[in-house]
Amino acid sequence: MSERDMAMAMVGRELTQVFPEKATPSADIALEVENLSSPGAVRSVSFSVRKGEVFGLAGLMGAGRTETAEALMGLRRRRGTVRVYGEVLAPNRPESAVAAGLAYLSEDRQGKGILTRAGITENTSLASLARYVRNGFLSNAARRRAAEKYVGEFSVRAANLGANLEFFSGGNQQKMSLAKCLDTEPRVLIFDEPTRGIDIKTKSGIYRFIQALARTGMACILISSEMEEIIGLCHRVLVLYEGEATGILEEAAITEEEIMLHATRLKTSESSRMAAAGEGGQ
Amino acid sequence: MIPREKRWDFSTLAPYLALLAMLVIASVTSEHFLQVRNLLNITRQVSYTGIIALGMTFVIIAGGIDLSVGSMVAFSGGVIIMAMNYCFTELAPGSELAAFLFALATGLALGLLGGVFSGTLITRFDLAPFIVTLGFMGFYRSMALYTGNGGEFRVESGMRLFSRVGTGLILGVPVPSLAFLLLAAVFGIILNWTRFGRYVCAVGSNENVARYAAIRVNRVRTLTYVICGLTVALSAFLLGGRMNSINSTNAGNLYELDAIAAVVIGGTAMTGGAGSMAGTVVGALMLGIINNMLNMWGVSAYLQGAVKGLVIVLAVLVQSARVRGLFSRGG
Repeated sequence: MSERDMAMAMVGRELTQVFPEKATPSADIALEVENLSSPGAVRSVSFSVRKGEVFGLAGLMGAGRTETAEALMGLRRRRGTVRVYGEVLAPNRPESAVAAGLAYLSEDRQGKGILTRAGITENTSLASLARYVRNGFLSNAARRRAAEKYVGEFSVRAANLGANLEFFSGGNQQKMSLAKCLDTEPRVLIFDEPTRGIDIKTKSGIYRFIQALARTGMACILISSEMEEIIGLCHRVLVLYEGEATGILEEAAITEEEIMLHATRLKTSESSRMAAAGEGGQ
Repeated sequence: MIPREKRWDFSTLAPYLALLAMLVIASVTSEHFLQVRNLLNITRQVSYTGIIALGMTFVIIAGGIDLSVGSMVAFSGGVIIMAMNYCFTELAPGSELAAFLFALATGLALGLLGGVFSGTLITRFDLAPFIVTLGFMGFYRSMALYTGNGGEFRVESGMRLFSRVGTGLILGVPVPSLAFLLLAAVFGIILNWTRFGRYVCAVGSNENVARYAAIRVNRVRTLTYVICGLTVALSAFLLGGRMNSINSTNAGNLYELDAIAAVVIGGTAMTGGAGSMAGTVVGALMLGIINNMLNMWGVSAYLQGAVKGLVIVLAVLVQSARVRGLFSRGG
């Protein structure tokens, strides 16, 4: 039985393609990063992400991908300039990042993504409570309605809105973490290993979701260790090696071989030298 | 449509059931218990530690603890009385209202500053709340003893408004009890219907998740200590009004124990993340009723501590079964 056969058997329907068709990004720049540095992890990384684009962040473990995302969000000390649709973000202030429209779906679901000892309502509006203030007080009814909306949209099966998330499956927990990100109405969403530890059916659901999101104009950044995900979903890919950018791959250049070569620094590209302004890309 | 949450489960009802049981036992074993005067007396007695317990509830839900509250009652009480006397004799001589308000403002300012200080030390330098507040516990008691020379802080004669309010009744209810219950309602609304209340629960549940949700964790935690400091000041103010004096040696003695006990018995777990102001009120009332019962039964006053301690242990025993249970109440 081939892998494909096994996958089809698990999902129970015809898998015509594992990856949905890629959306067409616009020319508008949603996120602009210049010489981003974070002590001990990232050195002078520059790139930009367009509206409606799926931008990959590839590299070996320890290359600094998650740290780059955290630095963008203000969760790690950073130097350099970050602009969201032209608006410069204040460093070290996660509130500033979220207010400007950045959202981060952490790879550490239980540690940083969701409150395991709280229910659906508490988790989904946790990062967006300001939206539910009416006359100075929180409307818990509105929060519950929003939670119900996500439960429906993502087909989450739960006994009630207050049931603790610690008993949810990995896939459902991820859906809740994603709901929390989406509820802040972001314009740039960073997915960090979104399908790790998730069953195949939910995985392909997430792939479709990412492209659909890109089609609505969301600038998506995808951090993934799975090569096929990067190749199947991304329009462009930034490859990191020990905190430094070794190249930005586009279109046909996004192949397993190219990614690996750049991830191990056996090859560096022109575009990386141009992107990392002032740094010799050797 | 998906149901809200499981409304009635044993863990959330437990404190209320226990209170009910206690009321039944007390009224059955003593004919005096259900007398209005006795009940009002109980509510007044528990108000001083109860008010502090309300502030402590925020602190504990956010994952911290404040051991300094008892000593701080003595210190802020002393400062309140000194301020009152100063205003009554120097700033606005003869004006009882001015002295009253000046002392209240000074007390609250002190409570606020104390909270800012502890809170900042704990959050900025990532110090254990237990240790920091333990240090302040010693500090405040010593400051009280020093400024009071080990004796009593007494209110100037002629300043009668203070005790009129402190021992007064509004619609038949003692002022301290009214303050306690009103504050419980306000804090309950803050906890459940404001962003700050939700942030307190999130921070106590998982500080990292809160941080990644762009919640200003340090500020939230510091604010809980500020609120606690304010409740200490209010309690000291009411306590001073009881006898027009504050004893620098005894005032606030073991208040931290009573406050924490009330919070825990009321269902708020020491691990934080979730809690209830109503529960804290129930916890405080239960301790008061137990004291009252023991008095009525003629049990030695020396044994009251033992009973209180046993009740606290029993409360956490019941809670631990709930934590392992399937339907524990979140946030």
